[in-house]
Amino acid sequence: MHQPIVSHDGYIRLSLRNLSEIPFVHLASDLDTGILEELQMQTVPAQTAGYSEWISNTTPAISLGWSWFVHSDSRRLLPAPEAVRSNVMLIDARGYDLGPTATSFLFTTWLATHDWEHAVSEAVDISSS
Amino acid sequence: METITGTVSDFSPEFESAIAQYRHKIFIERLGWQLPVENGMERDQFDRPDTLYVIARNGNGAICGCARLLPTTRPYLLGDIFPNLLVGMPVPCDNQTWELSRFAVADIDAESVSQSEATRNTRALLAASIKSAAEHGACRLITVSPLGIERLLQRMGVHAHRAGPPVLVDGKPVFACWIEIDQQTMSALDIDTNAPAPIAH
Repeated sequence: MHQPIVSHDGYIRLSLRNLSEIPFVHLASDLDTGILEELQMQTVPAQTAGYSEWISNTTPAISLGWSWFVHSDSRRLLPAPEAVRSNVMLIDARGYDLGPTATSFLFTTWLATHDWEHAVSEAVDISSS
Repeated sequence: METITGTVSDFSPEFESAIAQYRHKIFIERLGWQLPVENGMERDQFDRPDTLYVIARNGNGAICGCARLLPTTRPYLLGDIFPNLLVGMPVPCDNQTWELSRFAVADIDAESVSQSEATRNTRALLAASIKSAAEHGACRLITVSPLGIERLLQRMGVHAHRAGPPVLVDGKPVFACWIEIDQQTMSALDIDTNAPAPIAH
C-alpha cells in the first residue's frame, strides 16, 4: 500500500488510485444547523443536515470531511452539493497536481464507492428535524 | 465598512481598549469561549507589541470586526496551545507563515444585517487581513478554526486546506487550516496588491 507523505505545503499528495487502497475509519458525524441553513438558503430540500469526518489509519493521517443532508421528499441521506474537504492534493498519472477543484470533484467519485451513510445513521439521529 | 491595520503602538489607548471590549462581546458573550477576561475586556498572552491587528469600523466609527495576525517565528496560538491539531507534524516556524486568529465580523450596533451584507463584510475583512499579512512577507496563513470557516472559505473561492483532522475543543470540532496567499486567493477576494493598507492614526 502506498504510504502517504506530507509535502512542504501541508498537502498529502497521492493519486485517486492510491487513495482508494487506503482504509478510512469514521471519526465523527453530527447535526449542524449552520449547514442546514446554508442548504435551505440555496433552496435545497433538506430536512436535516450535518457533517461527517473520516480519517485514515496511516501516518501521516489523511483527513476527509463533507456535509450531508436528508432529502425532504425521498428521506435519502445524500452528500451535500459542495466540496469534500481534506488535506489531500490528488495527482495525475504523471505526478502533477490536479488542483483543489478537480481534487474535490474526484472525491465525489470516492464517496460514491464508500458506505459512509451507515456510519452517519449510527452516529446521528437523522430522523429528527 | 472601513478597515485599518496596525500594532498597539499605532492605536490610541482608548482604541486598543475598544478592541478588547469588542472581542469580549463577540468571543466571550456571544460565542461563550472560555478565555481570560478583565473588566469586560478580552486579551491574552499573544496580544504583544508586535501583534498586528486588522480592525473593521462601521459608518459611525464603531468597531464591527477584528482580526489578529502573528508571525510564527514567535509564540502563537496554534504553536503554543493547539499543536495537537497538526497530529505530530512540525509546528510552522518561518517568516512566510503567519497565524490568523480572533477573526470576527459582527456589527454590535446594528439591529439586523442581511446575509449578503454579512458576507460582503466578511470578505472585506478577510481580504484586508490577507493583504496586511502579505505586506509583512507572509505567503500563507494558518488558523485554528471551527468547521464552518472551512466551508465559508471554500464558498469564497479562497485556496484553503486543512492541516489535519478536527479535534473537539470545549465540545466543538476545530481544526488547523492553511490559507494560501496565492493568485487563487487574491483573485477570489479581489485583493489589489498595489494599494497600501490604511494605517490607524
